Amino acid sequence: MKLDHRIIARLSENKSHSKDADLFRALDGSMLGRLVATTRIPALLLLATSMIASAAPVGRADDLKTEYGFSRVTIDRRVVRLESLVIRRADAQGRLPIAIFNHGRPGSMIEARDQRLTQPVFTHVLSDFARRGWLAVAVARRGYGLSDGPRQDHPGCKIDSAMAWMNVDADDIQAALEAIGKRPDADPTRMISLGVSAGGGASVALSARNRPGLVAAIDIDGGEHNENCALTEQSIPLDFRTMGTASRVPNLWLFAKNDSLHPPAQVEIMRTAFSAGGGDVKLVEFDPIVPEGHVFSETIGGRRLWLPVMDEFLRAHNLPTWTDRDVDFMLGQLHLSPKAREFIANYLSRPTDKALARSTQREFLADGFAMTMDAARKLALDSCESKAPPCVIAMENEQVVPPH
Amino acid sequence: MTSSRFLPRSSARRNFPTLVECVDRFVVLSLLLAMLILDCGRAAADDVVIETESLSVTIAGAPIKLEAISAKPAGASGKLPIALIVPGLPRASQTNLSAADQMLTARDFARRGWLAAVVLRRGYGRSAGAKPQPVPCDVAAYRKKLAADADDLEAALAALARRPDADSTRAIALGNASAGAAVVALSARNPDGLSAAISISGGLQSEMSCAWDKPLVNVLQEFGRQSRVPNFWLYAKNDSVFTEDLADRMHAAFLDAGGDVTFVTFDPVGTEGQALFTARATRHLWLAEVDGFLRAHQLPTWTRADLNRIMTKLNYKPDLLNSSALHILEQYFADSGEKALAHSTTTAFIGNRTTLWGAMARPSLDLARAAALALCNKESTGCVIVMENQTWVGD
Repeated sequence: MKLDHRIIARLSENKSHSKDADLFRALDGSMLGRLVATTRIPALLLLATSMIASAAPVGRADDLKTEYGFSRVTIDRRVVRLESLVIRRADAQGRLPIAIFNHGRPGSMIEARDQRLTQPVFTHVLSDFARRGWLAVAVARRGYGLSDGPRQDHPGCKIDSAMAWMNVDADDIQAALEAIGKRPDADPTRMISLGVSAGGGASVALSARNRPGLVAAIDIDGGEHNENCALTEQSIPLDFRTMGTASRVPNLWLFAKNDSLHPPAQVEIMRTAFSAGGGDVKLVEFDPIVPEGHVFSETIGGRRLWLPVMDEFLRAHNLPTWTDRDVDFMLGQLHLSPKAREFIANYLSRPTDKALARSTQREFLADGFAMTMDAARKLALDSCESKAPPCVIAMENEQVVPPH
Repeated sequence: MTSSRFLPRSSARRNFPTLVECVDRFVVLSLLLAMLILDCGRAAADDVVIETESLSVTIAGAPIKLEAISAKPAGASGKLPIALIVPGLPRASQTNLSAADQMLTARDFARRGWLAAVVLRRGYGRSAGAKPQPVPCDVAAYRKKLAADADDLEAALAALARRPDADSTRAIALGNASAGAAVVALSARNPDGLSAAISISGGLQSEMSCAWDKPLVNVLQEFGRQSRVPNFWLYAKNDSVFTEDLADRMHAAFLDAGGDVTFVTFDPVGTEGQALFTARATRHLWLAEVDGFLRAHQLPTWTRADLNRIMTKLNYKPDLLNSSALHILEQYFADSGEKALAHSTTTAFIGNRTTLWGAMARPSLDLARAAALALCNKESTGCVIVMENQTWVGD
């Protein structure tokens, strides 16, 4: 039985909407009119004939530990303080691999300090990684949020300005990874850099430096764009060839087909140039996302699309993410039949915040995900009760909710 | 209380080469146009109320008067947060200052929603008190001088907090050069209500030819241990007094001692980076950073909501990824007065094409209006002024 998910995005002025179903509110889209989306998750009917309790040996408490503050890093031998956020599983033992999530840049750099890591989207994205076993980190680069400055100003229209921009951003990421790697709970031999828009481009640039321990770069809708600068047509193939020639770090690139800043033809030029240089890149393109493909990345609707693709990439490179064992464990915890396996596997790939509802009458499950747990619970319950009432919440994120 | 339209005096510095004042071709053009355009005779009601009375404070039990001016938004009701603005020069004994030189800074903060007060420390300008003595080159002397400065600022803050129109729970202190070091010293006392300390090109230069960087770095390390107030330090890399290297060392000392500081070093500006605060041409740089810092700390200044209101009034809808109109509005809101925004009513707003022209940081509102209209008329027709400073004046 296949799940059918539909993401409906629309401009909020057209229709009223649930304020919680705010799926496509993006950081990079601070210049946007408010975009709103709703999600409908058709319930999955499970025809259970038996109950199997498979007990995994370790528990999966969902407690996350969040540290908001500053990182003291060194860039060009200067002391720089960067606003930072670190989220990890509270019960994780030993050194954790590091996933650094890199933000984009606003349409106007005058708003760079408005991009704070206290915005909920950072907690959500980092939680997605923390649940997969990572020491999940975000830093505000120089000039953003409460980080030291100055910010980079909009590059002029020069052949090397886009690459120079990406390299300055990569300097910040590299410095942050060096600082984070010294934590006693960090494993600096396994680090990935992922980012959206400018943060994605910077991750590719960082991958071209082949820093020890950097094992993957994930670029979500990031490349070179410079409004009204025809020179990017020349610089894109040159820069991506140069980066591909240098980079020996596996890259995953994720784009929506209607990214107006990086249309598919441009992405193909990037990919071709990077590969021709010898770079290792897997490109995944998503069908158009209404109304603008450039800003799908860190939204909950966007994460619903790219998290499963990323999970597959991580597994292919023997990097941590959820596994079959986690599915077995949850089936056991929830006393579900094996027929629920696909549903639970899908649930594990879902974005934070998520909830799972189950019918008290028969084996029937539904899930919901949203920017708040309250909204996620409501989506899950409504979806479940529309088919098999009454229902109760069985999981919040990955924490089993005991029946009362 | 006097309400007057005040023009800033020349802020030419005596001790430093100044940045070339920005008398650009638009000003020249606008002077010509001002004579031609009938409309420019319309006098706008001043949006800022100015007071020029000295500030009566009590320091160590003794009453004393400090030179001051204050500015607040006209028509403001209720209590306003306090912005204490303290001018300074790098050396303690450089006292040739005037509060009125910072009239524009006071106006810029008033327009951002603050009760802005420019105050001179004891012995500076026309403030009472003994002239400050040159500071010898040792940490005890630095500690003593900056403690005296902090006494002045603490007393000024207390006096301002007693005003019925002041919200004593929200205050910031902004200082330049030696007054920048003074606001950091104030922040080390963690006074009630002080929400941020902003130091622009801050430091204290000894009059002696000696390694004065050492006592300066040491005293800032002490402040870093004590201060729990968010600090914001801004420097230009071509500051010949508080050099890039020295600024880095002050920053590292304060930060590593436990101080909370956001630190910005601008690329070289003009001919002398020490003039970052005073030069008209560089005001927009530090103002935009201060705006961002204030927003990040939930302190008053213009916000995206203000821009959205103007966009609505102009009947603009930002497109998804790029809106030049929004960018122009941001530049306009972030920049210094006196300023005006012209709008072409005959040009359709399509995508990236702009129908807005701003003239900012002009010597007077009349000149700003004329300059904005001139810019608009050069590229379009049907030009009208829709904003004067932060006030919507369109239909």
